Amino acid sequence: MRGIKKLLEGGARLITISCDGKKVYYHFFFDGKIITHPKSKRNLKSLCDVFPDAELYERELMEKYGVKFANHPKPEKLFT
Amino acid sequence: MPKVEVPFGPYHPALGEPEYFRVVLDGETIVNIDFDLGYNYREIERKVLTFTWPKAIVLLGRICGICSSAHTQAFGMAFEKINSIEVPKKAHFVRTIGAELERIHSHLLWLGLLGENAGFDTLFMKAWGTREHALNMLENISGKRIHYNYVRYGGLYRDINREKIRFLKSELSEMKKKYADTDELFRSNELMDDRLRGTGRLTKKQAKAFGVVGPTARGSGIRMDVRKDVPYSAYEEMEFKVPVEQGGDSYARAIVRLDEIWESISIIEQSISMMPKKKIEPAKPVYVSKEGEVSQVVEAPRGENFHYLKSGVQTPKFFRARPPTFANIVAVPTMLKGGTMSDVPIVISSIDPCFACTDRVIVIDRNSKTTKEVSI
Repeated sequence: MRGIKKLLEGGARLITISCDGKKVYYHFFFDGKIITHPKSKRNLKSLCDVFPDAELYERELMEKYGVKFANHPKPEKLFT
Repeated sequence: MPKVEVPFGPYHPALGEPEYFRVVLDGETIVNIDFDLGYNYREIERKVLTFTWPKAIVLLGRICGICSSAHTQAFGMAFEKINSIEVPKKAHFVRTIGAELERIHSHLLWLGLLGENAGFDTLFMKAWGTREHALNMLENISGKRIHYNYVRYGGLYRDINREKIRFLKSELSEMKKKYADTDELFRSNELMDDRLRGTGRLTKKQAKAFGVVGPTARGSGIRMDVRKDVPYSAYEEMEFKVPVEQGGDSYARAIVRLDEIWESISIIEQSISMMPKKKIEPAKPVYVSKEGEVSQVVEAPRGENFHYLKSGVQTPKFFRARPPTFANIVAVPTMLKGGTMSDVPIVISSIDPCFACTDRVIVIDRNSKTTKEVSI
């Protein structure tokens, strides 16, 4: 997660977070390029402190794929 | 004074599409607003995994009736990147014309709805009257006014001939005259100025934090446009400006869109004059793909539209779309806080929300506590 936080602090914009059931992908826009960071589903930390928009993306994955994000400010059910 | 909770939607005259907003009021002032999406939920991301390639691109055009071209273009380009398919130069120009016509018709539709929500029906009539010309041109290119699936892997559904180009030119000049009137009507009207200026303010800092995109970001002073940042189709050869306003309020967002229509008209004119004259064959259906993964962004009328595609041989393996409204909607509570109930329809329509796009992805639970924030 440290690499991702550095990227965000360096001015990268989080486009979205997606999950194909096995891995979690962080999509960033940085320096005119789209960067995709694949991560294992385990031991993920929330990015909400750096990027407030991540909250909705993270909650979606929690609900849809059972991914857990540590320190999430509002880990509530998203899909009714 | 006790706080009052006012439901806004899901079926409300000011909302074109069904969504639910829960507004918490303290007297006249809005203290909180929560939203509940999901009334158009169709799970297209999952459905597309069961479709073969020629069918998949048609389904993607159905995500949204207005951003039809943006979704098919992003998906088509992602597929072309994976399979290294080369697209004829003329097809690039036609795709650019289609994308810009889509932007014009989307912005004019939005302008009409904004006029209607602000109690200015003349603007509604004028804007939608002008929009007819953009729809006629789209019908001319693709055969349909809405859901124009003219993008195919490696080219187009059909070529456009001289006659069609002549029609485009005459319709465009007609539209320009009508749009000049509409534009002036909006800018010279004190009523719109009073109503929109200062309403739904989003500062540059807030806009950056929320990661808003498109005209919502440009209205808050952030210079971002996929067409300039990562040029695709024929945008590299075009000369156009990216309109940016510093106000951050509903008026700034409106002015950005009005200026963008002029830029779009200029891009269409440039494309028509630069387009190769030679005929091209309609693209043949592709049934088999290489395996690979790719991300693609395009500038939809409402902002950056992101597609992530992992391809299998006959069908997509994994697909994810992040339409622009999903990135913009999180900023609405911040824009509305401190305003009054009468600002709600105007501020919601000022981000030009497309709930059909958004609901393909997400549902937000409304069982949370009323006084809690949605997004921060």
